[in-house]
Amino acid sequence: MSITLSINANQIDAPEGSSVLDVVNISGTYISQLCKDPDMKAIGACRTCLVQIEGVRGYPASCSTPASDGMKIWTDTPELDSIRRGVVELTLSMVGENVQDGPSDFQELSVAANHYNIDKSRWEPRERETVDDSNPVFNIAMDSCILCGRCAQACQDGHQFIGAIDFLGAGQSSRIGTFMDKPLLESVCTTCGSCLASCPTGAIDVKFAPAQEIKTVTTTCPYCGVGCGIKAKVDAKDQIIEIEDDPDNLSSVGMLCVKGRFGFSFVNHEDRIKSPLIRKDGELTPVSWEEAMEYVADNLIKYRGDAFGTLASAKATNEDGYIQQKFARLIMQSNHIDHCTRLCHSPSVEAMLTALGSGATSNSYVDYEEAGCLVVVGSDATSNHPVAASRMRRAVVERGAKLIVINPRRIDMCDYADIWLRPRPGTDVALLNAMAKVILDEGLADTSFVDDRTEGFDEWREVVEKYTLEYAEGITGVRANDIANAARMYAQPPFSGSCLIWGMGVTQHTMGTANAHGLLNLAFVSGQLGKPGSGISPLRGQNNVQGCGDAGCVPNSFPGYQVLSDDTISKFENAWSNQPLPREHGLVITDMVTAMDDGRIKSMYVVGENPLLSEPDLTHAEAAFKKLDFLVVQDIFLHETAQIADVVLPATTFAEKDGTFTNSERRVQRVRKVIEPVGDSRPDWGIIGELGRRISDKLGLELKHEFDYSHPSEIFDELSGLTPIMGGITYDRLEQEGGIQWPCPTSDHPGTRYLYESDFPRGPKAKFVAFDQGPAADEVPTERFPLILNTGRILYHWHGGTITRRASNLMARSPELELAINAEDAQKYGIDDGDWVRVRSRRGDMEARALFSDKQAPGELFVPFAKLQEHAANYLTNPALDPTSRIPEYKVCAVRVDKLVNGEVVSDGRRRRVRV
Amino acid sequence: MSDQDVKAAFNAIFKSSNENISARFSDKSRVIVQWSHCSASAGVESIAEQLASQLSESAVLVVSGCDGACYEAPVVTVGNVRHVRVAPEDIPDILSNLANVHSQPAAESHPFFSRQTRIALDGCGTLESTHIDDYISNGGYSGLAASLQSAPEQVIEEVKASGLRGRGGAYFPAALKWEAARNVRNTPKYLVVNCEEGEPGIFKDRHLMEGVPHRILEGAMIASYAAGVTEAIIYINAEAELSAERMGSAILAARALGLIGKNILESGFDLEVEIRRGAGGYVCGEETTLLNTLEGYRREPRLKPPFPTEAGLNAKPTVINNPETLASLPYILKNGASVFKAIGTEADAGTKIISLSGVVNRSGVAELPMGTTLRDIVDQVGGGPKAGSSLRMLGVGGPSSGVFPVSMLDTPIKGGMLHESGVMLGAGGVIVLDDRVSLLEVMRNLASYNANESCGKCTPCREGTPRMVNLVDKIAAGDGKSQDIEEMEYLARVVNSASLCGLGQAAGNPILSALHFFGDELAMLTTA
Amino acid sequence: MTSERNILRRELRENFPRDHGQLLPALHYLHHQFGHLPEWAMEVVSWHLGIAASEVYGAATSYTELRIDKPGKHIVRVCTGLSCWANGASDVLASLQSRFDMHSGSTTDDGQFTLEEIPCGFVCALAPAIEMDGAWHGRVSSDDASRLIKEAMSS
Ligand SMILES: Nc1nc2c(c(=O)[nH]1)N[C@H]1C(S)=C(S)[C@@H](COP(=O)(O)OP(=O)(O)OC[C@H]3O[C@@H](n4cnc5c(=O)[nH]c(N)nc54)[C@H](O)[C@@H]3O)O[C@H]1N2
Ligand SMILES: Nc1nc2c(c(=O)[nH]1)N[C@H]1C(S)=C(S)[C@@H](COP(=O)(O)OP(=O)(O)OC[C@H]3O[C@@H](n4cnc5c(=O)[nH]c(N)nc54)[C@H](O)[C@@H]3O)O[C@H]1N2
Ligand SMILES: Cc1cc2nc3c(=O)[nH]c(=O)nc-3n(C[C@H](O)[C@H](O)[C@H](O)COP(=O)(O)O)c2cc1C
Ligand code: SF4
Ligand code: SF4
Ligand code: SF4
Ligand code: SF4
Ligand code: SF4
Ligand code: FES
Ligand code: FES
Ligand SMILES: [Mo]
Repeated sequence: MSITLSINANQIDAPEGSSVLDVVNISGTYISQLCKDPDMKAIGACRTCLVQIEGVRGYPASCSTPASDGMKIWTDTPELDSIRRGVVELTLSMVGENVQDGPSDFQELSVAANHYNIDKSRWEPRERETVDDSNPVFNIAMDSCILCGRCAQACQDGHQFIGAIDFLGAGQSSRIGTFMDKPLLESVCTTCGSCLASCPTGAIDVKFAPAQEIKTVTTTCPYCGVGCGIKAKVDAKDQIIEIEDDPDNLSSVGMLCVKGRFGFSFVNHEDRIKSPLIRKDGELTPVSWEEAMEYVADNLIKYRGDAFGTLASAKATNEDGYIQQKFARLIMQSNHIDHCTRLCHSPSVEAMLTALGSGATSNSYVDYEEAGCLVVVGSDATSNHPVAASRMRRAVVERGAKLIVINPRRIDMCDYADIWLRPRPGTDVALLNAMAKVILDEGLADTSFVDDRTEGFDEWREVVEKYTLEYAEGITGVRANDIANAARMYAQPPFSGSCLIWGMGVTQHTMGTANAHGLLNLAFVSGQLGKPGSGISPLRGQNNVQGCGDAGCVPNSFPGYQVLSDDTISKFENAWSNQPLPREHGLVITDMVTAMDDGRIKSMYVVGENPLLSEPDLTHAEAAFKKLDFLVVQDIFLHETAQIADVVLPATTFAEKDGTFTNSERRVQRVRKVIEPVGDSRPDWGIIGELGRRISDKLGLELKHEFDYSHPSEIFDELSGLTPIMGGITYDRLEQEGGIQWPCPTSDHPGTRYLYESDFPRGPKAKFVAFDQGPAADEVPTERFPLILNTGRILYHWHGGTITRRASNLMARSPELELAINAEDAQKYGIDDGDWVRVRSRRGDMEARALFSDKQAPGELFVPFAKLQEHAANYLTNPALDPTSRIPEYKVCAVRVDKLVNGEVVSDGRRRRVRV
Repeated sequence: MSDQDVKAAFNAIFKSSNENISARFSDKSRVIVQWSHCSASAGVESIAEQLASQLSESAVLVVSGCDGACYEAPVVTVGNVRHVRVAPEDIPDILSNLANVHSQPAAESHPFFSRQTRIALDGCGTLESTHIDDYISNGGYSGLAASLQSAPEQVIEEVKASGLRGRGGAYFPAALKWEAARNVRNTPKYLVVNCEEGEPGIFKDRHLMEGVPHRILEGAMIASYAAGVTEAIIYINAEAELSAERMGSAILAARALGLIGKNILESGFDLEVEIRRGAGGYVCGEETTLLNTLEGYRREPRLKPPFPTEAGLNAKPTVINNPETLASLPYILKNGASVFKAIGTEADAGTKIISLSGVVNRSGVAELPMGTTLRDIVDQVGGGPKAGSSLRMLGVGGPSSGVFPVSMLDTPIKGGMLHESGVMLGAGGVIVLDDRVSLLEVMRNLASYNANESCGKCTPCREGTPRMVNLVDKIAAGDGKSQDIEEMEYLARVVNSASLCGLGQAAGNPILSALHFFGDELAMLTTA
Repeated sequence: MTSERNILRRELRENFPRDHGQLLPALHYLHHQFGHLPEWAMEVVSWHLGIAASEVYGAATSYTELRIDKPGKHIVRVCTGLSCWANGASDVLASLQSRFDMHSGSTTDDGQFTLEEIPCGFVCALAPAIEMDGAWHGRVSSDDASRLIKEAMSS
């Protein structure tokens, strides 16, 4: 429906529900609107958007006046001009008197002033607060702030639900500030930059002004699995200078986190590998592509079959992944292909495959927003899936959803939680079983779901029967009452359904698969699956870890999780020029490392992954990699694994290629080329394709055409043609509709928000799988190693830090390796806040700065596994594996900690964050 | 439910209240001590203590609210003798009933009361404020009973016919608000009784809460019934401790009699009542700010639309009324619209409680028919300016309104503007000012009040109000130019026209009215 | 978490449902307990109600009756509303400032007295008025005010 009204006597049509300001904007008439963010609700504070409306008294603010059919609106009567001039002058007086320097000075305010021909306020400027420059990325300059409130709206309920800054005080002491007026750096500010993006005057602005952009390209964030939309701005030198959020992106709806917005400088970093390198006389030496390709092809030929393994990149595109698994299977005749999901969500995937028949997240971010209860288990979403976390907080703040956090650390999400359960590390099975028993005992089970849609209930019930609250309390240390309350809340949310959301705290244990089954069983018994506002979400880690698996970069299935059965093998043989394909399951990453050690695997092709920082027990892993006859690394930086490679091939980043990523909610989204490749780098699909063609030629396989693509869209078409769950997705549709969520089998299918409405990929019934709590961890604290080291992530670093060390803004925000330690423990070992310490396990050591934090329970330490100051946690971690999924136990190893007395590194006395 | 059931239920309560009263007093005499916020500041607490300890068996000590003659506080009444400005040493005399310590004539012939028509304030100073029996046996809750015997729509019609308009200052027809909320299909609906009363110079709602809390409750029940409200919130100023206490005991007593809760008086009407407290600041009384306060947000207004009757508290339809508005309802429902309509003027029905203070002989609260002139208020009710001073101007209606010179004294009171330069009756404050305060002091006092109370949300009010103060200061310092007076007027107009809420929209009024009435005087204080 | 925080968290849980609307009641509760709003206590309120700490602080600082900083042992408030002003409040204020070296809006160095001006005490009819530790006194002279201060000093 549309309405018609007049603006300054011109008829304008506008959609129903528009504000008067919307209509004025549609009409093309300029009117100042300093406090109205186009994507947020009206605030109505600046009072510069005043209009006159026939029949309405006074001068209503157009942003907050609904438009109605037939309204007659004036934007420029003499009275109105006089009043508005008064308001703009008052506004100008807030920012001082020197606004003559043109519109850029105070951005939108200057534009308004210029438009109304006001060059100076008649009022004396008033005294204002000063600049908060504590954040290394941007300043908040209160003397350029007009208190429009947009930044607070962006940080708070309007947008990111972070709540670092808000409107404070009253009257003339009104100000934008943090809790207790502390410097931004000491607040919960995550440097997401949403405030900056919304500020109309430049009061919040980056420290170093970017150059003028010449184009803007809409693409997808290269960091995490949330899959936010970004708009990259490029300058005349073909460098990315700024990233903006994309309000039209369906997954991020205009939000971004610090990495997405400010973490882009790695793309143009001088450390980018700019040409292929071949090890000559022990040194990696630049060579031409021709030489490198010949060399790699000649060597790889020697290891076709079982001696060849390859790691695919969850950072690269679906198209890259598809080509790589095709290359491994078709050319190299090996199923030894895997990617970092093995170190990540393999237990979730294993459990879900067994219990459901598919390993993906069942629901969408909107389901978090609509849920009545969210249970976040072993996931620090605030740091690692920040925008998804914003959407979870929206549920809590806006709709009053219940939030339960299960985590031994007091993560930031606990600030919003109704219940926080703090199990001892590695005891989730007991906890989850006990919750299930409460649900059963108190009649909270969804019996019709259990009866109609599951199997294995009775066997499972027998096992959980022994997990009484008291028994579980003994194992987990969580109060019986809290366990019971959490179970009740989950099974019977106050409205809508419940979502189970989990991360590495669940998976990276020797009980990882058992943990994941525990979660699934909980969802089954309470029927919280297959309806809006419910579901199960293993939050996917890397930007394209979902897609990498979807594309078939796993040792046991083809694209789309089509298992290595005779039927599918022949399907793919037919599709790929009728060449025979290997039939045995390949090895998973962790087993490949063992196989290298054993000499079974002799050659590895590692694409976009850095095992020599991400594997556990690095000393051992490095030894295994060094045993290889031929190691090819294809990456954007010369990281630890690349440094020992025989050949290094320079890949392009996401910014230099076209393709697609698939995010945690199964949404396939476009990646668009923003700049030309840096140096001689080439997109992964191009490099692998070239290798395929060369080896095919050398071996006379006549498979050259199978690797001949002129654009990634052709690869995508092949992939979707062979992969029913993506059969309906095309680049054209992605262009028109934005991201599409698989399953999307046909071209008229809209995509799928949530799975399992009526049945499961494994059949009509999901399966209960019972597990008992085993030993909490492979390694337990001893007198020599009395503490538990928990490794994970922080907001500002990415894994080993290969990328984030080269993103100056992120590095500035977190320059040092920080070990979170409880003050009680610290006291025991004579450590002061800020001391440098050495942490040792049975396998290795590292140095870090100790940071007091009551997020840690006594006896537990936490450190991100980024390598900073040449130290990294994976020298210490335990390679013990979960028997089913073969994931290492990254989350627990026994360590000791000592203060570094004469350590070379001295404290530089920089301001400490209060919360880590 | 039937009308008969309601009647029977009410009669039962009425009967038992009367029985309780007889039992409580039988043949004992009542010694009434008027205890309110004002009299507490004049030391009534120790008076009451003394009375309690010295009282003989033959008398009962009754704590009432104040009758409004604050200038006489503390007041103790025995029989029909008012003992005024009582000091502790006077008590033995009072109790021995010998001397009429500073005694005063009874109400009818008392100059402060003789002009008054006490509808809302009726019983203030005589009724035992926290005892529901006293209220009921004096006709209380019969307005509610009458309402419950008719349909909500009829109640709305009756109040429409009475011409009652809101006494919180905006004078919006009370029944129209209820009708609007009633017609929105969304539940629950709320009534918020706006007892913030944060405006300097106005203290009448406190008198009502402290003196006749049950009348406010009864009014709230009638309004709730009419509007389809099931939850009423009495929102009381953070500092009005005594008011909150008295309203609290009134609620307990009413609930004990089944007047609050489910199926009130067998009528099928349910109502819950809860007290919530503000946390300071004039703007808290602005209705949408008040809603923010209740919901735990910053003390700043919301945008309208949506209007509270459509989406107010927790986004549900919400009626907001001033307690004085509500306290007029029992009378209307008991006596009929026409009786109320006959009071006051054709355009403005009923009475208005005036808070009278400043340099005046008889200060306090007085309930007067609409149409009474300011001159009558100052001279007849107030007894004129204090000895030795001469009237120079009036502050009327608080800092959102303005000042009047002596020449405007014959203005009759009414809802809305009293003069187009920005003087309005508002919530009914009248401050008598004499020569000892200068014009600029008065302007500064009001302007700086507005500047300090500005919530800071919107630019014109936050930035404009302090600059008005600066201009006044500049003139006061002798640096004023005639241009400054123009600037001041322009600024006041900008702030009034562009501000977001009622505070800013009226913040220019003190300046505009002063410029209008005292422009020549101000001009003389400036140079060209 | 310290036990202090745990105790407060338990009290909040018992007295205030986890609802945004409970913010002001909860802050009033802190104010009654501590006489002002300590940082750590606001943080606990923030956790309990699931409201960002900055928002709690933003709300708290918007209300004139809520104190963030710890006030002096005694709080003296002088009404400077128009009725009181017309009846000599400026003299009362000036006398306190000169006789006891107090300054509006601040606390004496010995932490004994916090002096504040208040725009109305709502006993206008008994102007001028001052409030001493929560109790209002009407019709005060400068000497009355001094006497109240001295009484408080010796209490
Ligand atoms: N900033 C940033 N974001 C990232 C990444 C990054 O490197 N940096 N990496 C991405 C990738 S690949 C992944 S997989 C995700 C990982 O995201 P998360 O799963 O959130 O990652 P972690 O920080 O490793 O661990 C999560 C939590 O598990 C808790 N935990 C440890 N042991 C236990 C336990 O026994 N029981 C329970 N219940 N909890 C436990 C830890 O205290 C920790 O808070 O993040 C992605 N996002
Ligand atoms: N201690 C400990 N260790 C852990 C974990 C833990 O929690 N604790 N978590 C584990 C988990 S969950 C994961 S996912 C792994 C992650 O381990 P990795 O996947 O090894 O970590 P990244 O550093 O993300 O590696 C990605 C690499 O891809 C490169 N790259 C980026 N874009 C492209 C591209 O387009 N093409 C190519 N070819 N390369 C590109 C980057 O430079 C980088 O070197 O770590 C695991 N290790
Ligand atoms: C700044 C400001 C302060 C106000 N203060 C009060 C107040 O203290 N009490 C009150 O009843 N109304 C106050 N109002 C008016 C209310 O917004 C509202 O109109 C009134 O409570 C409605 O009740 P009524 O219709 O019964 O008068 C104030 C308005 C403004 C703009
Ligand atoms: S950067 Fe993000 S978190 Fe920090 S203040 Fe701005 S909006 Fe809030
Ligand atoms: S910092 Fe910018 S966005 Fe925030 S209130 Fe000030 S002017 Fe507005
Ligand atoms: S949440 Fe993830 S996808 Fe979104 S901007 Fe941050 S890192 Fe990128
Ligand atoms: S007019 Fe004043 S009080 Fe009202 S919103 Fe604006 S700043 Fe706040
Ligand atoms: S209450 Fe005060 S006490 Fe006063 S303005 Fe009103 S008169 Fe002052
Ligand atoms: S844009 Fe409408 S008031 Fe600011
Ligand atoms: S003292 Fe009682 S009316 Fe004020
Ligand atoms: Mo991961």
